[in-house]
Amino acid sequence: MHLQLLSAEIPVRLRIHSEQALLLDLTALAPQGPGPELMQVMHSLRTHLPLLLGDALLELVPSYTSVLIIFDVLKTDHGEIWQKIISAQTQLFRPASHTNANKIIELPCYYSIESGPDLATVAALHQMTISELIKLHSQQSYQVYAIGFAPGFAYLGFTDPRINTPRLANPRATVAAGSVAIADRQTAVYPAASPGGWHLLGNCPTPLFDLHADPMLPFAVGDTVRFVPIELPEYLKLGGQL
Amino acid sequence: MSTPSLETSKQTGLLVLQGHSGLQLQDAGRFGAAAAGLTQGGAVDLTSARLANALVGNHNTVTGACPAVLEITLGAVAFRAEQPVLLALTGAAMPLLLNSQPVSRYRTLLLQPRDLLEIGYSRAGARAYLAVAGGFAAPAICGSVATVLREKVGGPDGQGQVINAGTLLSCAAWLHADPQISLSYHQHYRHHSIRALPMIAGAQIEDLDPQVTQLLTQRLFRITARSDRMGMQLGGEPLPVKAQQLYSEGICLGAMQLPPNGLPIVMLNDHQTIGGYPKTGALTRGGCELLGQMMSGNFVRFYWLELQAAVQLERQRLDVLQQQLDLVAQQWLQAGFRGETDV
Repeated sequence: MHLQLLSAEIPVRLRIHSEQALLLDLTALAPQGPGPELMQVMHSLRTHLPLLLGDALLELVPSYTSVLIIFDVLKTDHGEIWQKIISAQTQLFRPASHTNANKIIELPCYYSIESGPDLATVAALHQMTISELIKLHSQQSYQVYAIGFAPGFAYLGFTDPRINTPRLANPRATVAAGSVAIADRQTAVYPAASPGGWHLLGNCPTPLFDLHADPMLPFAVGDTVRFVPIELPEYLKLGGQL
Repeated sequence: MSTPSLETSKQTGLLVLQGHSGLQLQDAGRFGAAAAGLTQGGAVDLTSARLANALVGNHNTVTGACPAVLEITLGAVAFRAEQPVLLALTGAAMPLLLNSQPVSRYRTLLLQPRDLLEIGYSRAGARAYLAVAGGFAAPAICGSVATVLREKVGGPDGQGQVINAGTLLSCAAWLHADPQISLSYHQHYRHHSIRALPMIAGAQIEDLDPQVTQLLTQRLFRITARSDRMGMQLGGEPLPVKAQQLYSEGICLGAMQLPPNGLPIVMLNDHQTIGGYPKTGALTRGGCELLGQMMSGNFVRFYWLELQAAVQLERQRLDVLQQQLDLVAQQWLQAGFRGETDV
């Protein structure tokens, strides 16, 4: 049953991942690559699949163009899940485009050399001023495409093509928590201090990831994020550190 | 149902005299948080962990919650009891000494205060499991105490710290005689230095060079020393893998990744939640437990198993485990305890 196609109208594929896992491959829904429309579908799947599958569902991992479903082998199987998805396909994959279910989360960001040590380097690389770089980074709306690498690390995309930037040749041993960074055509906020190979542009003083909070993160895959430039006094007021 | 009285004390328990990063509190794992980037964690050989719990009378079934146990990778740990503690060791064959006298695995042991328990280097198998009656007390994060060092999550303090000498592992005191519960030898984990494990074809299998899928079942792979709880890194002659552009996607336990160097990695419990390397499919949960018990230098080969057969195999495995758990529970009843101890 590997690689089954949902229907001609909804070209979603099922891929077997293990005896307790299957993946919904949404690649064909977005021939141009993942974008806001596919993230509407992602939001819909994130909302409806838990209700559809009930307590047989152990884990749901959305990422870019797919959703991995992990289930309890004693409660269900691939065939049953696939049947449920077929029955609910319209609801799952055709979210009403006018209802903007996706949250838009605004993240404050203090762009400065002190909080974003690569600001000048990246601006020079793209032959623009620092304020142009800040403008291009903060006027863009980003989709949350995936969360991984570390708990709470969200891959946000895509950056304005004018500021697409390769990774650092020599990754840093430590990047401060809250660092706002870019790499290739994506941007992210480091949820905790960690090693990192992305260029750092600023810092988001609001703690984004809390293991003991519910939800642990203010956003999920499928949501939209924007960065709002703030000045030093507000940064410090919000708990930002230098 | 009456339960044996357990006296929980925050101050006492088992004092670690020798520990290391391979000594970790584990349970059935953390679920529902992968979308936030948290891996599942949990005992690699969950079967042995559940049997250890059953031996000391801790309630657990084949799926669902598993009271916290100590996972001991490769051995070399020591403890001193600070109170009477009823415990049992299962899994890998590690020498077990109580006050310098050899004692048996797969049976209950009653330690009195000041008693010394030493576990030597494993003779066979990579992971042993130590359970105490009443379970170890630790703060649950997303419903689990599973330690993930990389994420700084879980364990006795909830912060994913390494358990070193001086750590006091809080657990209940046992105020009865040793009920002498045991599992017979043929129900012990048995190590094999070469294993054939079934693999379910899936993920990007259709996109891979057919030569890769053929070679995968023809070759023998060596367990390398770079293997850890994240994944078993296999060595041998590299497979001819073509570079493939893939959006990162969710990864499940047992998934076999083929990185550009052509040497497969089988994902274990602390696997990254998403990744972009092509995958051939996956080992079953049962296969992961066996693979996770293999030691550096051991060999493994793979054979393809149809999905339905794999599901059946997994359900049978859980049936057998349920029978073993029931058998142990029966012994507890015969020993005069009317109910299992609750955690």
